[in-house]
Amino acid sequence: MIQFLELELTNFAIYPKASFKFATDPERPLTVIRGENESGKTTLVRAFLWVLFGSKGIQEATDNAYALRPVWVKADESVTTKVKLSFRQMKSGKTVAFNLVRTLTSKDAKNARLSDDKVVLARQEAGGAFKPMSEAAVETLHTIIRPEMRDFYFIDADKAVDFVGGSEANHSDQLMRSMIGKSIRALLSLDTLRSASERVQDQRNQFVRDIAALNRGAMGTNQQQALINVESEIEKLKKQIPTAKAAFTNADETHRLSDEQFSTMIKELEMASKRAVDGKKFRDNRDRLNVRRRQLVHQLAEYAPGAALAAAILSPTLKAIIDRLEPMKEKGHIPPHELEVIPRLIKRGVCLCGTEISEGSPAADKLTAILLEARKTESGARFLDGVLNLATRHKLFGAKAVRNDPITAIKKELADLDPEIGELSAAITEVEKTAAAEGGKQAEASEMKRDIGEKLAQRDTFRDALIRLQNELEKLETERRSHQESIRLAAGRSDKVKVLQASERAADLVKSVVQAAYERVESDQVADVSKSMTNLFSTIVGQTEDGLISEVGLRTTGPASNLPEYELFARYQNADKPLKLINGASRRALSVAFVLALAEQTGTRVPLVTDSLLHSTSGEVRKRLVDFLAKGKRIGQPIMFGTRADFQSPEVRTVLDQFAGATYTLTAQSHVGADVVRADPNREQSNQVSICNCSPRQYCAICERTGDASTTDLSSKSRGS
Amino acid sequence: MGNEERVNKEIDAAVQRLPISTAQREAVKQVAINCVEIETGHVQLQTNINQQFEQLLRELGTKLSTEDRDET
Repeated sequence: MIQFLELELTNFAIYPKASFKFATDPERPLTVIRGENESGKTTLVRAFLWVLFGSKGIQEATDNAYALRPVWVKADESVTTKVKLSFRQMKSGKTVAFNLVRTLTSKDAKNARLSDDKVVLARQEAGGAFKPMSEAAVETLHTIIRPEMRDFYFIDADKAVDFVGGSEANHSDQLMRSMIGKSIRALLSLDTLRSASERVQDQRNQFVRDIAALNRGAMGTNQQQALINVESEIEKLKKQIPTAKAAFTNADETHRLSDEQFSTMIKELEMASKRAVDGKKFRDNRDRLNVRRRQLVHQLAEYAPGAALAAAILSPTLKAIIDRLEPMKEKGHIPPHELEVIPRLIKRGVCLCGTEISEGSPAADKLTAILLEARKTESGARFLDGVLNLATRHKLFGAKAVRNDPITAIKKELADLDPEIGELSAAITEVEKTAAAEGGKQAEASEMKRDIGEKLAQRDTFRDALIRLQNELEKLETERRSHQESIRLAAGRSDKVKVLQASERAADLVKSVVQAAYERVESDQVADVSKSMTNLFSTIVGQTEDGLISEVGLRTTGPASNLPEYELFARYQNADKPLKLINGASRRALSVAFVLALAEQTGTRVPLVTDSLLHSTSGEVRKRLVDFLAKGKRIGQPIMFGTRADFQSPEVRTVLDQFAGATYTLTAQSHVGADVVRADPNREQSNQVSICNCSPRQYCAICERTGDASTTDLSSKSRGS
Repeated sequence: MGNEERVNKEIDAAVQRLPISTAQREAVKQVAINCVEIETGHVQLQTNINQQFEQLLRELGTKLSTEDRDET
């Protein structure tokens, strides 16, 4: 519950400085502020609205501060307007006092802006001092005293009839439904319940969307199956790989061994090639020795006429030998050392001319025969040799002196050459034999090279197969890790989905509860307000069964839209009576009944400020209305504005005497019929309002009007406000 | 009865009709009242009401699940 304690105005419109303390005594809860037209009652209500709601509270404002600027200041004069509202909040057995202060400094009348105001809400601390609160606290205050309900809390006669649809002449059902609906939804918390229900529903839908999004990305089951498949493939590959590795290792070893053999063979072939070179050297040496031999034979021939014969004997070709030996044999002239050569040649199967001579062949037989014949003549040959030697010694064969020594030397050299030539020929024969054998190895090496090539290709095939398997394994391992990661994430998503599903269920439950509360409040409390209205209407208007209206109330209109509408109704003789046909007095009574019923049913705990509400009533109705407001048990804190006429009846004054805890009278120039400054020395300007504490039953020097002194209903009160 | 009490009373009545355990009813009721209070602004001014709602509903979901498990 909120109670206003005091309103202080400084430089506010026609108020230079004013202070109003409001009644808070439960026995005398009513505050009465009396004032004639143009005395400042509405301005005072405007001060309430401004301090509470700022520019939102001033209906006629267009951000121009003209409505607030003091009327006595000059157009270009800077002035600070300030309104301070002291109030207290009682909740849960605790009472906390607050000060709400709003100020606006306007530089000039033309450019002053309401939006330049400053507002501070301060809370009273334990020590008594007031401590400023955050700006958000002002917003919180507005959730209790709602800006949109200002016409409800600060109601005047003109605004009140808007709840019924306006004046009789300009009735509008649309206006009525708008005003009623706004009040009902705000004060019955229907707006709040509805928006809370919708917000919970929105949140629930968000949970559902989040679940769907997570499920879209889950694929948990598919990933599991894919992982099983991949692991199966991996197992298969792991079994294949050792076999492939063994095949490759064997092929590699086989290839390596073959390669080694081939290398050995290549080395051997290289050696053979080297030996072939040696054979050529042997041949060259032998050729050189043969050349020397021939030279020696020629030299020897120079010492003997038989040199030609000797040369023939020494001819390197077998044919030549045979051709030469034949006649020599016939003559018996064959040197014995030449005869020694032939058996060796035959034995080796070759001859110097290259003709093959094998044992038992006709050529060999022929040579053997020649040899045997030669041996027969060996003695003759020796003889011949002796003759030659003798003839040489005695220079019997020519002019050239025959000396024994050179011939001997030549013969000796020839004798030395022959074995050497023989050895070289043997070596050449050996080399040629080896070369023939190595010729076979060349073919074998080529064959081996082909074989090695095939083995290398086979080894590479096995190696490629192994690498392919290893690559495949690596790929599958990567795939497996990917599936495992996906499954892990899916598991995480699954947990999130569970949480979201639980949240969705919670939202469903809360939504159903809030929605049910909304429906119950709407159906039951609207009906309760309706009943209260009928009671209040009857009480205030004093309606009887014979009256023109037998029943009034509030009801929900058809479910034409999502947002239900509410309307007032009046019935006469069991039938609806159109509101536009209801006359002014009943119209005002109906609107007041609605406001008060709603305040009563919703337990509104904020002050209710009525401005000239009694204007529209008269007689018993007015008395009952004042009686209802004054007792203050059904509404928080009644603050009633009115004219002298409003409070003139003795019945009303009696109620006010009993329940008014605070009274004020506003006096302006038009009321005193002269300059207000003369009546109130505290005033400096004639267009300023003067305030005294006179009750509706009193007058003083400030508020006194002509005739007051002669009225028995009024009593004089000395100055001293 | 003030309007706030009326709303709370209706919330309590609605919760009693839910087919859940007593503890769960109490948890749902408290969250429903909190949601309405946040929406009304009776709790200190909220900067992000949606976030508050989400948090409340998530916590309630967890609490209800825990209660379910405890009962089984």
